[in-house]
Amino acid sequence: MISLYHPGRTPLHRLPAGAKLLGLFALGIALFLTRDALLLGAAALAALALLLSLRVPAGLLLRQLGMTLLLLAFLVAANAWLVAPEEGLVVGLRLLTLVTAATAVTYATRPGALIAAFQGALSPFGSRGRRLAFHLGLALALVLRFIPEVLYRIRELREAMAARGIAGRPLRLVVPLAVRLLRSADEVGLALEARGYPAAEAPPPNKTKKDSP
Amino acid sequence: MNSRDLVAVPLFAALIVALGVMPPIPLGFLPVPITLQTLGVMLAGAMLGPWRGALAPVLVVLLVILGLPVLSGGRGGLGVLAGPTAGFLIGWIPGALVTGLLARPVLRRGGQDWRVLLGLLLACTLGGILVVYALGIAWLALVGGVGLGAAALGSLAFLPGDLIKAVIAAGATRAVQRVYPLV
Repeated sequence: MISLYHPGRTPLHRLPAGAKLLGLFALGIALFLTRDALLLGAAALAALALLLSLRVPAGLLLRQLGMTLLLLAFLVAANAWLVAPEEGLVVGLRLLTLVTAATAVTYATRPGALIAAFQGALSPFGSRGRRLAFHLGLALALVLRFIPEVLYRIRELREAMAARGIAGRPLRLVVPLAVRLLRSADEVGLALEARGYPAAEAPPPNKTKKDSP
Repeated sequence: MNSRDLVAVPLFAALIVALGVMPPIPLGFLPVPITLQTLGVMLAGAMLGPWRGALAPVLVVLLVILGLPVLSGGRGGLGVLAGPTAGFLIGWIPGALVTGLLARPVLRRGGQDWRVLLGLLLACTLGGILVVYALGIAWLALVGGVGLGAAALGSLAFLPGDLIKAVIAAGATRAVQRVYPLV
C-alpha cells in the first residue's frame, strides 16, 4: 500500500514530524478558543495556502477532501439554518482550517518519520517502552503485508463461489474467509515462534554500514 | 501476548482495510452499496475477544495517522481525524471492545442455536453500532456545532446497512465457532 506522502522540499516537508504533530494539536485547541470570524478566516486562508504550496495534484486532493467538503457545506447550512448564519461561518472556517492543515501535514510527512516520532515518544518508558515500540512497528508492518493477502483470499473465494453459481451471499463468503484467516494466524504465529518471536527484549537498533569493517 | 495474537490482530486489521478496498458485496434490496469496514470491526471483536479485538482497529487508526489510504474510498491521513466524522472512526476501538465483552460469555455458554445467535446479534448491535454511533454522533454534534438530534438524524441513513452487517457478523461468528474454537 502506497502512503499519501507527496515528496517535496518545502519548509513543511523539512520540519520534524513530532513538531508538525504538536503544532497540529495546538492548532486544534487554538481554533476552538476563538469565535472571531476574521481571525478564523485568516487561519483558513493560511492553511489552504500551506496545502497548495505542497503542489499535490488537484485530483488527489479532491479525492481525499471531497466527501469532507461536502459534509462541511452541509454542516454550515445546518448551522446557518438551525442556529445563526454567523455560527455556520465560525464552525465551517474552524473545521476547514483544521482539516486542511492536517491534510497538509499528511502530504508533507513520510510515514517512516511519523513512526520514528511515535517510537521516540515511547523511549522515556525504558525497556517496556522499547519493547512496545518494537512490537507496534512489527504489527503495523504485518498489517501492510496482510492486506494484499486478505484481498487475494477474498478474490479466490469469490471465484470459487461464482464457479459453483452461488455468488452474492455475503455470509457464505465471510465464514470461510474468517476460518482461513484464523488458521493462517496459527501458521504464521508458529513460523514467528520458530524464528524466536516474540522477543522478550527489543532487538538492538540496526547497525549502519559504517560500523562494520 | 503470544505470537499467535501478534499475528491475529494485524490479520483482522488487514481484514478491516481489505473490506474497505474490495468492491462492495451487492445486497440486492439496498440501493446504496454499503462499505463493509464496520463488519470487520464487529468480526474482530466477536472472534478475537474484547482486548485483541480492540487492538485491530487501533492498528487501523494508527495507519490512518501515518497517512496510509486504509479507509474506504482510499481515504486516510490526519485530515480524517481532524474532520467532523472522526468519532465514527475512533468509535471502532470501543466498539470492538464492547462487541467482544458481550460476545465472549455468549460463546462460552453455548446452548441452543437461536439463543447464541440472538446473543451475538445483540453484542454486534450494541458494540458495533450503538457504541460507534454514540461516539460518532457526539463528536459530530460537538465539532460540527449542530445539536445531538440533528447529528443523529443524519446518521440514520447508515443504520439499515449497519444492521445487516450485524446480522452477517453474528451469523458468521456462530458458523465459524462450529469449526474453529474461538474462546
